[in-house]
Amino acid sequence: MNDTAYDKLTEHIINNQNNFYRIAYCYVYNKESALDIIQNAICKALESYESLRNEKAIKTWFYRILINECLQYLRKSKKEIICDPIDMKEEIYYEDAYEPKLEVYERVCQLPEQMKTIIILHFYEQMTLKEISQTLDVNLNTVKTRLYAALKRLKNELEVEYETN
Amino acid sequence: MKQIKESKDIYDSIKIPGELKQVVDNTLKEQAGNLNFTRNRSKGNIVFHLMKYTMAAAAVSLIFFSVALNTSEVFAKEVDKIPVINGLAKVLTVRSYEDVTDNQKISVKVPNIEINQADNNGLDKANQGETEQFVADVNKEIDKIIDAYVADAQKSIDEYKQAFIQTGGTEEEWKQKDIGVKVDYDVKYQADNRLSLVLTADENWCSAYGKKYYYNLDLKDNTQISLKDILGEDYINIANESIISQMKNRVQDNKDYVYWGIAGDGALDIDGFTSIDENTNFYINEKGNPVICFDKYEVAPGFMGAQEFEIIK
Repeated sequence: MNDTAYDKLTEHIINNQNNFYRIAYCYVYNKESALDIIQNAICKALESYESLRNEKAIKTWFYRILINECLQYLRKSKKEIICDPIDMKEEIYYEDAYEPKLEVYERVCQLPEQMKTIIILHFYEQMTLKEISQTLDVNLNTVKTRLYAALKRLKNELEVEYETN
Repeated sequence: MKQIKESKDIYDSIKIPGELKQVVDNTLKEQAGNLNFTRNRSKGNIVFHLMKYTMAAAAVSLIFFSVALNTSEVFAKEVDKIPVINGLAKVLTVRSYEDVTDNQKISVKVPNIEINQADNNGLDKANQGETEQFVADVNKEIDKIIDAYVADAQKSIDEYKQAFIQTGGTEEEWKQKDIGVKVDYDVKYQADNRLSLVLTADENWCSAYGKKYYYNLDLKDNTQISLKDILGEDYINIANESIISQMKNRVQDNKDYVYWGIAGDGALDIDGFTSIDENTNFYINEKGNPVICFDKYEVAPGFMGAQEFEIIK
């Protein structure tokens, strides 16, 4: 029985709860659902913390559980939750009418799940590509491919947007 | 690339609800309890295996007894180590209704504060009854406020519609206005024995009708928390100084801003903020600091919306 791993995990969860919430929120755009997801993720993590062999991997390990929970939640709810612009406006109520940052953020949210996850983890949660590959349990090259595909797609979309404006 | 990095600001500004902390703490605590159960059970199995190899039944039961005792003691310590800051109470939506008619759309969420029965650490029996009474009174008051607000809103919408139709508006055009009433709440802070709750009531066709009610409760002393409780005897000066300097900073950062009587273009022509008092509205934010709230138009022009100032303890 490895109790320090348990303590570390608890500590990690408490210290990073805000980050977890933001990730979950990016998938479901709803406070209650995001809180549900976090609750489930914590349960799962604590139930199976014994499978966590390397304590250094807590970060990527927990992110993996969290993201799986998010995706599962979306699948279960079956409703397709796309970016609801009204909800997002509420978050940045004080911003100016045209906000390029917001435009980019909205585009990121609308990416397909695989691409979106990588952008969020890399740019918003500032994880290295290696950490992401561990989190998602995919090959590092696959992460790179998806990242570039996502960036290319974003760039195209923003250019089209810019031209029509 | 650069643009994506910049859009992180938006991501970072995703609002963290006050309930998050409680959800996390509670889940950790509950899981710790479950874990205790499964662990003891597996210990039990080990003892069972031991039994096969031990002939003396009396000795076995003695081992069993001491092992069980030890595990639960070890476990008890473990539970204590987990830094759980748990609320004495939780806030639930008891009544939530939407009433959509041709005239308007009413959407209401009524909060209800409940004492955590399973976890009343810090509350002794005698005190618990009082707290229940206190909470029940607050719930009743919230109920009353909401009912009165909705009835009022209903009345003013009816009057507005009547006037609208009389002056040549059609039913079709009325529907397009999509008039609605929304009552909702936000738990701002919840830890230990403190609970901070803001109730918002709004009519979407006239923002001046929006109202906010602030509840900061101490569930140990059964009182409403005042600014004095948080900031101390000198709370008026502390808060005033902080608010005025924050106003000046904001005007410096944004040239369009005006705080009447304090700073900004033409600010001195209009009487504005002078001082807070014991009735000034505030809530407690996730850091435990009081945030003083002014309604729209109260200290600044309407375009700046409602103004909030965090007072760092």
